[in-house]
Amino acid sequence: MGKEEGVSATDLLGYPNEPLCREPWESYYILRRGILPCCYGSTPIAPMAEWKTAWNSPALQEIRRYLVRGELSPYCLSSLGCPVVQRFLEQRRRSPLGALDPRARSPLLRGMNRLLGGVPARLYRLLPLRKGLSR
Amino acid sequence: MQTTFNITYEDGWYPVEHENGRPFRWSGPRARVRVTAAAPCRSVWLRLTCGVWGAAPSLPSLTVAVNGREAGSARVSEQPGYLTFPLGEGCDFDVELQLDRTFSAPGDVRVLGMMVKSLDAFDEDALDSSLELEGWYERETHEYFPFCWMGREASVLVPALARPGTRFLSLPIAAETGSGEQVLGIWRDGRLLAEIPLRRGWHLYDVDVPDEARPAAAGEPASARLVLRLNALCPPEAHPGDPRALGVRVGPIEAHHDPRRHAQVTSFYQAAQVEAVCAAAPQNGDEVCCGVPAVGDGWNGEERDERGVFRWTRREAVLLLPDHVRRRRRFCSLPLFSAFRNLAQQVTLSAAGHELVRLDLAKGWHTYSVALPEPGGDLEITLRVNVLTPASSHPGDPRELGIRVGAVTLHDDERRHEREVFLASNAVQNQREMQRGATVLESFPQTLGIDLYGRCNIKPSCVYCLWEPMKALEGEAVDETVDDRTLAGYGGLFQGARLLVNCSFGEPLLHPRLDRVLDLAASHGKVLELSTNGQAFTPRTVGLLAGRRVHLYVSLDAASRATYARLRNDRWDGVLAGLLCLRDARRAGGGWPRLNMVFMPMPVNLDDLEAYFRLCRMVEADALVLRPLLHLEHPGIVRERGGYRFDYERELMTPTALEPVFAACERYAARYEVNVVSQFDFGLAEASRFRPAATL
Ligand code: SF4
Ligand code: SF4
Repeated sequence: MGKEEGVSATDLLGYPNEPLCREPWESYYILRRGILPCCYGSTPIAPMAEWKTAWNSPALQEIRRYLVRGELSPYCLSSLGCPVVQRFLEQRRRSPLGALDPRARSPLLRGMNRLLGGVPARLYRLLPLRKGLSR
Repeated sequence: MQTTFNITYEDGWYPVEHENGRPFRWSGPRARVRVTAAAPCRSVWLRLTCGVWGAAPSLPSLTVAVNGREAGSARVSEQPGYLTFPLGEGCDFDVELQLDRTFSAPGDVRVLGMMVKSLDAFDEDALDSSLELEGWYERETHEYFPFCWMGREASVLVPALARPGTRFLSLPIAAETGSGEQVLGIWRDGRLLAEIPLRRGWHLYDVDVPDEARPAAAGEPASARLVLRLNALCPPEAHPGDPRALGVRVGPIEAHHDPRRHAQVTSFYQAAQVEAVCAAAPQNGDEVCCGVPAVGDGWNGEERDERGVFRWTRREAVLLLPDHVRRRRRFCSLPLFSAFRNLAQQVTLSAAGHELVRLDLAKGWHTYSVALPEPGGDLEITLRVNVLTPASSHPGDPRELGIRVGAVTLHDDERRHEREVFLASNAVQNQREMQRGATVLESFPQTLGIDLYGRCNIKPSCVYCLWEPMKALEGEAVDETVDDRTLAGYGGLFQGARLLVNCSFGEPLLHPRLDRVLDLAASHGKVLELSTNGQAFTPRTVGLLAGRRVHLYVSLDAASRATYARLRNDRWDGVLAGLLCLRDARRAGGGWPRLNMVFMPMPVNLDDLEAYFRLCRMVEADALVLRPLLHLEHPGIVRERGGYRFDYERELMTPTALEPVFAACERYAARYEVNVVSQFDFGLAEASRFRPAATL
């Protein structure tokens, strides 16, 4: 997008104020396997029965806090099925420093992902319909 | 395995010519061909695609002799169609084609008999699909089912129909006429086996063949010849510009012995059932939809986005609500779209110089409800935005753009008004809290994930399903009831959500209170997103869904019976019949539910990609959704199914391997006019914002 009087359209439209990922504000999943903050969360943050309190639970607050700072929380980083996380880890692997960072390929995180199935809550995610193909 | 024949054109033929890149030859009055096979066959058929192309003053009769003995004769049609003759037993056939009349075209000195587009030989015992004998026009392959138009009467050879155990006949047919105007009779050996009243468009029909019509003596040919007769041709106005005498389109006819498949397919086309389904679309009380604003000042032209038709306002636009449309209704539902994410855009609505309401606009589409001034009368409402959509966000488009406005609805339901006001204000608050970086929220989520039903009708589970670990994770909650009462009990979490997304590991259409869940969602103005495997489509569930604000995601990942069997099971035909029934119900229901057909590209199904686009076009899907197979590290899932070894890790495609798939999708999307939504780009926008020091 272009600029208007020195201010970019994204700034004018308010993109910069958004957290890195909006899911934990806009979405909430009350599932049999537990409460999830987003469709890619691998670990339930609370059992299903705690749907009322989990919305503002310390666990969800922490996830939001990281995202507001433009960072991925440990929770997100354990959700290896999440494309945001995958892209992040991929970037880390490609960057000269990231390649040295053992955490970018943490076996522990991968282990957790396997243990918990690594399954997003919302395998069937609605994205906006667009005419033609976009990637 | 198909037998290979060698066909040599001998004397009596003119040289090869081409039309639209396709070769053909004219014969003289008499022509010969030689047909040879590597090994002797019990019964060989010769099929000519021939005609006189409207050039001959009268239609000639063709007589065929094989190795000196007559094999039959038939009238050559004007337009290219099939003529088929039995060559008999053996592996070497000298075939003579003799025409009873010839003609010459002006300016062409040749003596012409017939124009032959192709000559094919078939081994009856090796047929893998039905063989059109006579009364058919040339095969066409640009639709989901490869098909031939039949005239009023046509004959066909169906393999395996006479095999012991075979009971049913499956026929994909497309009629251009409405319910039952055309009736197809199916005859065998002079006996009427069945009569099918045909429905408009493609449908799958399944016929129970009477016992006595199934000779099963050992050593007899397993294929059987059927004659199809229509009571009426397709009216010429249904195929303008096409001079042929057309009946209906018929796809590959198959014999089978699966009573469950028969029952499932049959249930969908029994007239009463389908009519009930199509009539089931719910009406919305006293509301009146005024459509997208079409008159009044300040509007840009009509456009369409993922939500539907809309118009951009300029800075100010006037919405006219005439008294005869409004009829004292008190509320107006306005779907508005703002591109701003920081709530910087507001719209003020005023009438007769008085401000009615000032609305903070949340990003994207939201419905805002406005109480209209009393009493009735013609109403001119001015919408004025405080800030325009930045011109730099739509480079190349010089228009003054305010907000998008969708189809406006008027109603008199106070509770609906209150609900819509709450929904919109929750969206605004939710966005405000997010923009502020709040971690404790007073607002509620706009999307609520729910888990309607924990059981599935696919057993064993789909090859890539993580059924066991998921059920283990669900533990005691596996049998927890989640229904309309549960959802209503979620209070603000339910009230505040615009979208309910079902994320069950299970099939939601099996839910015993599906009707109540749909009613609850409808009465609260929610959009419901349901993913289904398509095997739970029945006339009942399709009827329940007709006209509902539901986004269906049908996960097939296959466009053929064979691929479907590798991923799931042998219930392909029932799914197909259900989708065709759903197509009709959606037409009756104003396009609802929306239909999204999911395809996860994997080596197992890549050969089906083009056919999947054709399928989407046939069932009139709103979109084909390309979805990545879920990334799992070392999944260790290997399953044998449908003669295929599904190794999850091998099916995960790399970005490089996906490139040609995406390119093919671009081509097919344009060719078949199918919308494609790619879910491969989730996370791209976020990735552009990773901070260099993002923590691990
Ligand atoms: S796991 Fe992914 S989708 Fe979920 S909150 Fe984290 S970044 Fe967002
Ligand atoms: S339909 Fe869904 S829940 Fe059922 S087995 Fe298949 S993937 Fe699993």
